[in-house]
Amino acid sequence: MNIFFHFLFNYVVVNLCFGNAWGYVAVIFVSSVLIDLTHLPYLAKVGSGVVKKRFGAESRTRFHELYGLILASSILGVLFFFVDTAIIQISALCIILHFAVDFLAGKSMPFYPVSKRVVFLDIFPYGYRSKFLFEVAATSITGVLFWLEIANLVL
Amino acid sequence: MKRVRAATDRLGASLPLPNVSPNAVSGLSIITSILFMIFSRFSFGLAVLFLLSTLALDWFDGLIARKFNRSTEEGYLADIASDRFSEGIIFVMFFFPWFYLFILNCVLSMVSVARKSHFILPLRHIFLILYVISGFLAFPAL
Repeated sequence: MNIFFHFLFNYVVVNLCFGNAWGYVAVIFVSSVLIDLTHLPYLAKVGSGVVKKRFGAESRTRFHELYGLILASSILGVLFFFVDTAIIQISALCIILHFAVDFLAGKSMPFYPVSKRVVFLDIFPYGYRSKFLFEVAATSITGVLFWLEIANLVL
Repeated sequence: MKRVRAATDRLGASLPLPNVSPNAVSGLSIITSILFMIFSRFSFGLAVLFLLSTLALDWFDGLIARKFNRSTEEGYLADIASDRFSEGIIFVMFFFPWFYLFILNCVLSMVSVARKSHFILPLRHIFLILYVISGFLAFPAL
Protein backbone atom coordinates (compact mmCIF):
# COMPACT_ATOMS: atom_id res chain seq x y z
CA MET A 1 0.00 0.00 0.00
CA ASN A 2 1.08 3.59 -0.49
CA ILE A 3 2.66 5.66 2.29
CA PHE A 4 -0.36 7.99 2.51
CA PHE A 5 -2.63 5.05 3.34
CA HIS A 6 -0.15 3.70 5.90
CA PHE A 7 0.04 7.02 7.72
CA LEU A 8 -3.71 7.76 7.59
CA PHE A 9 -4.74 4.22 8.58
CA ASN A 10 -2.23 4.08 11.44
CA TYR A 11 -3.36 7.50 12.66
CA VAL A 12 -7.01 6.40 12.74
CA VAL A 13 -6.19 3.12 14.53
CA VAL A 14 -3.89 4.80 17.06
CA ASN A 15 -6.59 7.36 17.78
CA LEU A 16 -9.13 4.59 18.41
CA CYS A 17 -6.75 2.61 20.63
CA PHE A 18 -4.91 5.31 22.54
CA GLY A 19 -6.86 8.55 21.95
CA ASN A 20 -5.02 11.86 21.39
CA ALA A 21 -3.26 10.62 18.23
CA TRP A 22 -2.56 14.24 17.23
CA GLY A 23 -0.17 14.50 20.20
CA TYR A 24 1.87 11.68 18.68
CA VAL A 25 1.49 12.60 15.01
CA ALA A 26 5.26 12.84 14.42
CA VAL A 27 5.83 9.37 15.97
CA ILE A 28 3.00 7.93 13.88
CA PHE A 29 4.32 9.52 10.67
CA VAL A 30 7.92 8.37 11.16
CA SER A 31 6.94 4.84 12.26
CA SER A 32 4.46 4.49 9.39
CA VAL A 33 6.83 5.64 6.66
CA LEU A 34 10.16 4.30 7.95
CA ILE A 35 9.63 0.74 6.67
CA ASP A 36 9.10 1.95 3.10
CA LEU A 37 12.65 3.31 3.03
CA THR A 38 13.65 -0.32 2.47
CA HIS A 39 12.17 0.03 -1.04
CA LEU A 40 14.89 2.55 -1.99
CA PRO A 41 17.44 -0.01 -3.25
CA TYR A 42 14.73 -1.47 -5.52
CA LEU A 43 13.72 2.01 -6.75
CA ALA A 44 17.35 2.84 -7.49
CA LYS A 45 17.64 -0.41 -9.46
CA VAL A 46 14.48 -0.19 -11.61
CA GLY A 47 14.19 3.60 -11.84
CA SER A 48 11.17 4.74 -13.87
CA GLY A 49 10.40 1.08 -14.66
CA VAL A 50 8.66 0.89 -11.26
CA VAL A 51 5.40 2.00 -12.91
CA LYS A 52 5.36 -1.19 -14.98
CA LYS A 53 7.06 -3.53 -12.48
CA ARG A 54 5.19 -2.21 -9.38
CA PHE A 55 6.03 -2.99 -5.75
CA GLY A 56 5.80 -6.77 -5.76
CA ALA A 57 7.61 -9.25 -3.53
CA GLU A 58 10.91 -8.49 -5.32
CA SER A 59 10.72 -4.84 -4.23
CA ARG A 60 11.21 -5.82 -0.59
CA THR A 61 14.47 -6.39 1.20
CA ARG A 62 14.65 -8.68 4.24
CA PHE A 63 13.95 -5.62 6.38
CA HIS A 64 10.45 -5.38 4.91
CA GLU A 65 9.61 -8.92 6.03
CA LEU A 66 9.41 -10.81 9.34
CA TYR A 67 13.19 -10.46 9.70
CA GLY A 68 12.80 -6.66 9.77
CA LEU A 69 9.88 -6.92 12.17
CA ILE A 70 12.02 -8.94 14.61
CA LEU A 71 14.77 -6.34 14.34
CA ALA A 72 12.44 -3.35 14.81
CA SER A 73 10.55 -5.05 17.67
CA SER A 74 13.79 -5.93 19.45
CA ILE A 75 15.00 -2.32 19.25
CA LEU A 76 11.64 -1.09 20.59
CA GLY A 77 11.73 -3.78 23.28
CA VAL A 78 15.02 -2.35 24.56
CA LEU A 79 13.88 1.28 24.22
CA PHE A 80 10.74 0.42 26.26
CA PHE A 81 12.83 0.69 29.44
CA PHE A 82 14.23 4.13 28.58
CA VAL A 83 11.57 6.01 26.58
CA ASP A 84 7.94 6.98 27.31
CA THR A 85 5.81 3.81 27.18
CA ALA A 86 3.08 5.36 25.00
CA ILE A 87 5.62 6.42 22.34
CA ILE A 88 7.08 2.90 22.18
CA GLN A 89 3.63 1.26 22.04
CA ILE A 90 2.41 3.63 19.31
CA SER A 91 5.61 3.22 17.33
CA ALA A 92 5.43 -0.59 17.64
CA LEU A 93 1.76 -0.58 16.62
CA CYS A 94 2.44 1.56 13.53
CA ILE A 95 5.36 -0.62 12.44
CA ILE A 96 3.43 -3.89 12.93
CA LEU A 97 0.36 -2.49 11.15
CA HIS A 98 2.56 -1.44 8.23
CA PHE A 99 3.94 -4.96 7.90
CA ALA A 100 0.47 -6.50 8.38
CA VAL A 101 -1.27 -4.25 5.82
CA ASP A 102 1.40 -4.87 3.18
CA PHE A 103 1.18 -8.61 3.91
CA LEU A 104 -2.63 -8.51 3.57
CA ALA A 105 -2.74 -6.42 0.40
CA GLY A 106 0.20 -7.59 -1.69
CA LYS A 107 2.64 -10.34 -2.55
CA SER A 108 5.44 -10.90 -0.07
CA MET A 109 8.16 -13.32 0.97
CA PRO A 110 7.43 -13.28 4.73
CA PHE A 111 10.28 -15.59 5.72
CA TYR A 112 12.97 -14.19 3.41
CA PRO A 113 15.94 -14.92 3.63
CA VAL A 114 15.05 -18.31 5.20
CA SER A 115 12.45 -19.05 2.50
CA LYS A 116 12.03 -17.31 -0.86
CA ARG A 117 8.47 -18.60 -1.31
CA VAL A 118 6.11 -15.80 -2.41
CA VAL A 119 2.83 -15.60 -0.47
CA PHE A 120 -0.38 -13.88 -1.54
CA LEU A 121 -3.45 -13.99 0.72
CA ASP A 122 -6.11 -13.55 -1.96
CA ILE A 123 -8.22 -11.16 0.14
CA PHE A 124 -7.75 -7.90 -1.76
CA PRO A 125 -7.43 -7.49 -5.56
CA TYR A 126 -3.99 -7.62 -7.17
CA GLY A 127 -4.74 -6.81 -10.83
CA TYR A 128 -3.15 -3.55 -12.03
CA ARG A 129 -6.39 -1.59 -12.43
CA SER A 130 -8.33 -3.19 -9.55
CA LYS A 131 -5.47 -2.69 -7.09
CA PHE A 132 -5.10 0.94 -8.18
CA LEU A 133 -8.83 1.54 -7.63
CA PHE A 134 -8.71 -0.31 -4.30
CA GLU A 135 -5.78 1.82 -3.09
CA VAL A 136 -7.49 5.04 -4.17
CA ALA A 137 -10.72 4.02 -2.39
CA ALA A 138 -8.94 2.85 0.80
CA THR A 139 -6.74 5.96 0.96
CA SER A 140 -9.74 8.23 0.38
CA ILE A 141 -11.79 6.55 3.13
CA THR A 142 -8.95 6.75 5.67
CA GLY A 143 -8.30 10.33 4.53
CA VAL A 144 -11.92 11.27 5.27
CA LEU A 145 -11.72 9.57 8.70
CA PHE A 146 -8.46 11.43 9.40
CA TRP A 147 -10.03 14.75 8.42
CA LEU A 148 -13.14 14.08 10.52
CA GLU A 149 -10.94 13.27 13.50
CA ILE A 150 -8.74 16.36 13.27
CA ALA A 151 -11.88 18.45 12.75
CA ASN A 152 -13.15 16.90 16.02
CA LEU A 153 -16.26 15.57 14.30
CA VAL A 154 -15.99 11.83 15.05
CA LEU A 155 -13.75 9.23 16.74
CA MET B 1 -0.19 -33.78 18.43
CA LYS B 2 -1.11 -36.03 15.49
CA ARG B 3 -4.04 -37.40 17.50
CA VAL B 4 -5.31 -33.88 18.19
CA ARG B 5 -5.00 -33.00 14.49
CA ALA B 6 -6.82 -36.20 13.50
CA ALA B 7 -9.61 -35.42 15.98
CA THR B 8 -9.98 -31.82 14.74
CA ASP B 9 -9.92 -33.04 11.12
CA ARG B 10 -12.79 -35.44 11.91
CA LEU B 11 -14.68 -32.58 13.54
CA GLY B 12 -13.85 -30.28 10.61
CA ALA B 13 -15.10 -32.85 8.12
CA SER B 14 -18.50 -32.73 9.81
CA LEU B 15 -18.69 -28.92 9.78
CA PRO B 16 -20.19 -27.11 6.76
CA LEU B 17 -16.95 -25.27 5.92
CA PRO B 18 -16.90 -23.12 2.75
CA ASN B 19 -14.43 -23.95 -0.02
CA VAL B 20 -12.60 -20.64 0.18
CA SER B 21 -8.90 -19.79 0.03
CA PRO B 22 -7.27 -20.90 3.33
CA ASN B 23 -4.79 -18.03 2.89
CA ALA B 24 -7.67 -15.54 2.94
CA VAL B 25 -8.97 -17.11 6.17
CA SER B 26 -5.47 -16.74 7.67
CA GLY B 27 -5.44 -13.10 6.63
CA LEU B 28 -8.85 -12.45 8.18
CA SER B 29 -7.38 -13.34 11.58
CA ILE B 30 -5.16 -10.23 11.27
CA ILE B 31 -8.27 -8.09 10.73
CA THR B 32 -10.03 -9.59 13.77
CA SER B 33 -6.86 -8.91 15.80
CA ILE B 34 -7.05 -5.24 14.84
CA LEU B 35 -10.72 -5.24 15.90
CA PHE B 36 -9.76 -6.90 19.22
CA MET B 37 -7.16 -4.19 19.83
CA ILE B 38 -9.67 -1.41 19.12
CA PHE B 39 -12.50 -2.92 21.19
CA SER B 40 -10.29 -3.94 24.13
CA ARG B 41 -10.46 -0.26 25.11
CA PHE B 42 -14.26 -0.05 25.00
CA SER B 43 -15.86 -3.44 25.59
CA PHE B 44 -14.52 -6.52 27.33
CA GLY B 45 -17.19 -8.77 25.82
CA LEU B 46 -16.56 -7.66 22.22
CA ALA B 47 -12.81 -7.87 22.76
CA VAL B 48 -13.13 -11.50 23.90
CA LEU B 49 -15.41 -12.21 20.92
CA PHE B 50 -12.82 -10.87 18.44
CA LEU B 51 -10.00 -12.71 20.20
CA LEU B 52 -12.01 -15.95 19.98
CA SER B 53 -12.72 -15.19 16.30
CA THR B 54 -9.00 -14.76 15.69
CA LEU B 55 -8.23 -18.15 17.20
CA ALA B 56 -11.20 -19.77 15.42
CA LEU B 57 -10.04 -18.43 12.04
CA ASP B 58 -6.54 -19.71 12.77
CA TRP B 59 -8.09 -23.15 13.37
CA PHE B 60 -10.39 -23.01 10.35
CA ASP B 61 -7.69 -22.16 7.81
CA GLY B 62 -5.93 -25.46 8.51
CA LEU B 63 -9.23 -27.37 8.56
CA ILE B 64 -10.33 -25.89 5.22
CA ALA B 65 -6.94 -26.59 3.65
CA ARG B 66 -7.02 -30.23 4.75
CA LYS B 67 -10.71 -30.81 4.01
CA PHE B 68 -10.46 -29.51 0.42
CA ASN B 69 -6.92 -30.80 -0.22
CA ARG B 70 -5.53 -27.29 -0.52
CA SER B 71 -2.57 -27.74 1.84
CA THR B 72 0.51 -26.11 0.31
CA GLU B 73 3.85 -24.79 1.55
CA GLU B 74 2.69 -21.29 0.62
CA GLY B 75 -0.40 -21.79 2.80
CA TYR B 76 1.75 -22.99 5.70
CA LEU B 77 3.93 -19.87 5.45
CA ALA B 78 0.87 -17.60 5.14
CA ASP B 79 -0.60 -19.24 8.25
CA ILE B 80 2.52 -18.79 10.39
CA ALA B 81 3.17 -15.22 9.18
CA SER B 82 -0.49 -14.25 9.80
CA ASP B 83 -0.25 -15.68 13.31
CA ARG B 84 2.84 -13.60 14.07
CA PHE B 85 1.30 -10.36 12.77
CA SER B 86 -1.86 -11.14 14.71
CA GLU B 87 0.16 -11.72 17.90
CA GLY B 88 2.10 -8.51 17.41
CA ILE B 89 -1.09 -6.48 17.03
CA ILE B 90 -2.75 -8.11 20.06
CA PHE B 91 0.27 -7.86 22.37
CA VAL B 92 1.30 -4.29 21.62
CA MET B 93 -1.38 -3.08 24.05
CA PHE B 94 -0.18 -5.50 26.77
CA PHE B 95 3.49 -4.84 26.22
CA PHE B 96 5.27 -6.47 29.13
CA PRO B 97 5.96 -9.43 28.97
CA TRP B 98 3.79 -10.35 25.97
CA PHE B 99 5.62 -8.29 23.36
CA TYR B 100 8.90 -9.99 24.26
CA LEU B 101 7.27 -13.41 23.96
CA PHE B 102 5.96 -12.31 20.54
CA ILE B 103 9.54 -11.50 19.46
CA LEU B 104 10.62 -14.93 20.72
CA ASN B 105 7.79 -16.55 18.73
CA CYS B 106 8.87 -14.67 15.57
CA VAL B 107 12.40 -16.05 15.98
CA LEU B 108 11.00 -19.55 16.63
CA SER B 109 8.89 -19.22 13.45
CA MET B 110 11.96 -18.36 11.37
CA VAL B 111 13.82 -21.33 12.88
CA SER B 112 10.79 -23.62 12.32
CA VAL B 113 10.63 -22.66 8.62
CA ALA B 114 14.40 -23.04 8.20
CA ARG B 115 14.48 -26.47 9.88
CA LYS B 116 11.10 -27.59 8.52
CA SER B 117 9.90 -28.36 12.04
CA HIS B 118 7.13 -26.69 14.00
CA PHE B 119 7.96 -25.36 17.43
CA ILE B 120 5.93 -22.22 18.16
CA LEU B 121 4.43 -21.15 21.50
CA PRO B 122 0.58 -20.96 21.66
CA LEU B 123 0.76 -17.43 23.08
CA ARG B 124 -2.68 -16.20 22.01
CA HIS B 125 -4.39 -19.22 23.60
CA ILE B 126 -2.61 -18.61 26.91
CA PHE B 127 -3.35 -14.89 26.61
CA LEU B 128 -7.06 -15.56 25.99
CA ILE B 129 -7.34 -17.63 29.18
CA LEU B 130 -5.54 -14.99 31.27
CA TYR B 131 -7.47 -12.15 29.61
CA VAL B 132 -10.83 -13.79 30.36
CA ILE B 133 -9.83 -14.56 33.97
CA SER B 134 -8.59 -10.99 34.55
CA GLY B 135 -11.71 -9.61 32.89
CA PHE B 136 -14.02 -11.61 35.14
CA LEU B 137 -12.02 -10.61 38.22
CA ALA B 138 -12.24 -6.95 37.20
CA PHE B 139 -15.93 -7.13 36.20
CA PRO B 140 -17.59 -9.82 38.41
CA ALA B 141 -21.01 -8.84 37.02
CA LEU B 142 -19.98 -10.34 33.66
